[in-house]
Amino acid sequence: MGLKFGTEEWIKAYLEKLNANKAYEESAKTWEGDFVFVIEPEGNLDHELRFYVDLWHGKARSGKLLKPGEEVDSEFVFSGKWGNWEKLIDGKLDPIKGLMARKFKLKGDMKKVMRAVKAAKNLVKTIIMVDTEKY
Amino acid sequence: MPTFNSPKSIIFGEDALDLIDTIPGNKCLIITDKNLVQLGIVEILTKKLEESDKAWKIFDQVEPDPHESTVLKATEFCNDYNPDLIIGLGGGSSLDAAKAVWFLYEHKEDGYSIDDLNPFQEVHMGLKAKYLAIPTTSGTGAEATWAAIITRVDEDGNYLKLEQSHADVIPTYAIIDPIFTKSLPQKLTVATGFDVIAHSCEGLISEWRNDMADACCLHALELVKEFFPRVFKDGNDMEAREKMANAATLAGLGFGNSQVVMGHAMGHALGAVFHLTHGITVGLMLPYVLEYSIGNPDDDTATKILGKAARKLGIAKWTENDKESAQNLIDYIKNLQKELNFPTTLEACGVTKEQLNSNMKRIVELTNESASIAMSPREPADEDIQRVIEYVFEGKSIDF
Repeated sequence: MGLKFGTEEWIKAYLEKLNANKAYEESAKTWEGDFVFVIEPEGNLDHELRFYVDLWHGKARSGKLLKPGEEVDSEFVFSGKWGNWEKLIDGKLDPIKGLMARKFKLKGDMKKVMRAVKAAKNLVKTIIMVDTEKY
Repeated sequence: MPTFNSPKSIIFGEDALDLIDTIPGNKCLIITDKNLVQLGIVEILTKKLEESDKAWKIFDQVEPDPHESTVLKATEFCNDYNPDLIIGLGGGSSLDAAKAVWFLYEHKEDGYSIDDLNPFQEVHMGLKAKYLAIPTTSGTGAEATWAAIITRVDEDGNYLKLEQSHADVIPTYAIIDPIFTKSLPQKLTVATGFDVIAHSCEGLISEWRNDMADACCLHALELVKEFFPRVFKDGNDMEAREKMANAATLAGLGFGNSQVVMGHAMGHALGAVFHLTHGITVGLMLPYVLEYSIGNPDDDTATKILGKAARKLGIAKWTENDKESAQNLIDYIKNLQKELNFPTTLEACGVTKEQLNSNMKRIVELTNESASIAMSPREPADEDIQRVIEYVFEGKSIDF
């Protein structure tokens, strides 16, 4: 039985996987910037989920589930409907391709992301490594 | 859902230029280089424009691997002239520079910079002008792609190749007329021809490959196989010139819709550091990158794709397995490089071991910054990037 996606336990497991992921560490060694991930309700997910991850030089320095209405300043916001997140978790949707197909939205400095596509891909691919229970 | 992006019209074949009068726009800005003016290539175009009662001005200062400063200068010229048709005439440098100028011209009021030319940006193209791309080489496929490679020089004097792109900056029209490539020198014909092969092979194995792009890449390879050796032997073979020009555009449509992989990421890095041309670096990298890709211990996707392509192209027998067939394709490329006097090692490109060692860190960094690296079927770690480059220097087959 996996961890329910987007819960405190899941985020903890994700951060552990991320900090143990050598490919991510190497590809993001110069990255400085934090993200808020937004999962918009769709299908079996009836409420919005948001989690925050602070990324610094190939490691996640911190991360947490955001409570409803909790505001946090972040350099980037990556958002999308649950159905698209589900495809991403299953490895069926490439995050960058998903952005181009408008299945996801990214707010922030795009030119910075364009110089770190490999890191961004590894960041999202790490989600697949977590044993996840879906909605 | 995947989208196949392409110019609105591609006019191709002998005398294709005659149809320029069917393209809307009467105030044309030609973006090109001085060499093409001196060779009389630009005059072929301007004569046709005059016959079509189209006014024109020329910006002819595009250099190989166009610099950001040149693009900004051309944009200023463009803003002053206010054209309704921008014509990029030349190799990839002029066509890419013209894409960037077109983008900045269309967004003058938005205050956009070249950095804003990225796939996620909200853009509005074609409101002031359309873009007609006319290639004078058969290689880059820039007439059919969404990318513009622009060189930026940072405060420390380091060169960085910006890989800017947006689906809406694909040229509105392309004219592929072999009249523009018939006098292409043999060395340039060869370098650009290997660019076509690199685009096709990398496009086939890219993680973003798709059925539409596959068809373009495969047919481009089929044309190359038949007509590349012919155009090498006889540059006046106009059928071969025409087919190679078509192959370049097809490969552009292919990789433009599926993306290239680590060969281009590394090629751009080598180009930026050692100032080598695009066709040389990506052509040089190709067999090594394909070997690395089929050596993936975790996934044989690239082997299957290249094996199948080799059999379809008649480079391998249908009785051969994927590994043998893929290796046949790589051997075919290596043999073609030797046959056509194309460099097969980094050393043969004039790079010394000392130069390589002192720049290795930068090459690895630049490779990692390229978006193309993330499309690779076998994504290399820093150590592997370095090892592949070392093997390319020495001309050793990839065995890891």
